[in-house]
Amino acid sequence: MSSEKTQSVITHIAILAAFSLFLSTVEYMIPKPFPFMRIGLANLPVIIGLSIFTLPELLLLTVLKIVGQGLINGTIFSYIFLFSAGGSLASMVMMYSVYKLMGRFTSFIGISIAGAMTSNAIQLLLAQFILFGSSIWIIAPPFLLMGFITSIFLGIFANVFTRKSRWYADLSTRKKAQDTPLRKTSGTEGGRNSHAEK
Amino acid sequence: MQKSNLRIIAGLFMIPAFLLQKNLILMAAQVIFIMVVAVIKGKKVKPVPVLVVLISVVLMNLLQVNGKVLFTIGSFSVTLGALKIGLDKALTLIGMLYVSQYMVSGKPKLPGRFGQLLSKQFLFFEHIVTSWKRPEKGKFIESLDTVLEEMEHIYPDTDLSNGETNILYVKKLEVVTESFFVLCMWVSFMVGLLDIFPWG
Amino acid sequence: MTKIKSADVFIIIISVLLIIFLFIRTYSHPQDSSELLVRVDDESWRFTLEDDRILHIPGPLGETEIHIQDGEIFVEDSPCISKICVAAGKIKRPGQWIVCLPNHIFISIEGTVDSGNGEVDDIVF
Repeated sequence: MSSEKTQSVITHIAILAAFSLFLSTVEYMIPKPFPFMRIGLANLPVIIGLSIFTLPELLLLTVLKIVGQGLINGTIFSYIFLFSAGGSLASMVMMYSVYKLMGRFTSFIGISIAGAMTSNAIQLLLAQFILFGSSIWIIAPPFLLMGFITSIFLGIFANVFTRKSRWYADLSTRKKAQDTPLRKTSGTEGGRNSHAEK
Repeated sequence: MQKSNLRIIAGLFMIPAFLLQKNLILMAAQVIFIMVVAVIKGKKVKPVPVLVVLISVVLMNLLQVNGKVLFTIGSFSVTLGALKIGLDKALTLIGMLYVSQYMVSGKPKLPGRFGQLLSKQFLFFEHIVTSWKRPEKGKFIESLDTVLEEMEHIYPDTDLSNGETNILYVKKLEVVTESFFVLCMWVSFMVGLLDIFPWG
Repeated sequence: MTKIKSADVFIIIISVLLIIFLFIRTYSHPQDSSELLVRVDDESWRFTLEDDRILHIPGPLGETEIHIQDGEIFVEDSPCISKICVAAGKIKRPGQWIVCLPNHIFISIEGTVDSGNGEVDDIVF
């Protein structure tokens, strides 16, 4: 890819990562009975990014999101950071897998649910081993239930957004153009990384 | 050294003095100390979430009975050993949280291309916060689009080199103050080694 | 408003089943945690049987060393003269107990009785 295109992708990643920060700030301000109950708003940009980014780009987005949240919330050297990082990474991997394997049969709702379940499960496991011991499983069912319900709404929003947003439409047509391999010209290596302009 | 990175380094030095602390009373003192430092540096401390975390971690750990029974409520016994473990974990969690609050209070800049990306992310974040107007009914996504598209065009795609021409370097006074804070944590740790206080 | 596709439903069903399963398993499971209860005069100690531990419980004559190992309890050493409590061997089920009268120690296992295992194997005096 030309460096201009790389820069453009990087900008998009930064934009979505910034939205993640914004959403996590919003979520932080919503009063909750327990500080541990998460709505997972900050995962929304990752969900949307599934269809416009490659796996390395998604990974970059997730890492930016994790580090950014850690810095802004000042949690970066605490256990909370570990839980959140583990959950975000696991969830991203799961969502990407579901998207790749079953993407044609699932809308963002299913993907979002899968991601939320994975994220919550990983967070419970980490919390068990680091902080609470096996007594944490007492709150596991309502925790997972909340995650399940909120992820449905996130998925619905992602569906609606990807359908209606101009910005998103621009981005995905750009990606589709990139994805089309150059088959006919001889002498050039095939695949999307070989655009003629340098 | 760049000013923004001083507290990161200071914080890193604080961490072992805190994590290795044996004595619960001193650990609590360390936590209070670092919370005060964080507040001095401009970070907010919200008492309610801190208390909720403290109580819930302790309660969860009290469920695994261990040690001398202090008192009983109904069929539930509060044991000393479990209480200690719960307090240890809760204090560690809260303390580390405020150590990291302290570390980021200087607005650190990570080096390298990742650091630049991070800066870009924060710039965009500030743009979202400041310029997104409350959307009207039914036009929510459009207002989102507006902000998103603005961000693509406002900030040029050129590299954000640590664009400030005035990178601030630390003054001696700052090094002294932050070192003092680190020292306090270490003194507390070493006093803990002496076994003078109970709840060790 | 939004399209739901086939695999969405599949994922939803799996998740709901998982959550229901967890609810059932967590909340209707009988308290399977037995506890070790040690009483000396009017003080008491409680411990879970899951973690292996060596305890030193203070009594009028001195400290009694009690071991929790693999879910079993036994007295390793005692300051009493006859040391019957040491010879008493291991206990591991709710309702069993070991006593050291000279040192005022009463050791027992508390907890819900598991299905069908209410018998007392041994009584130690």
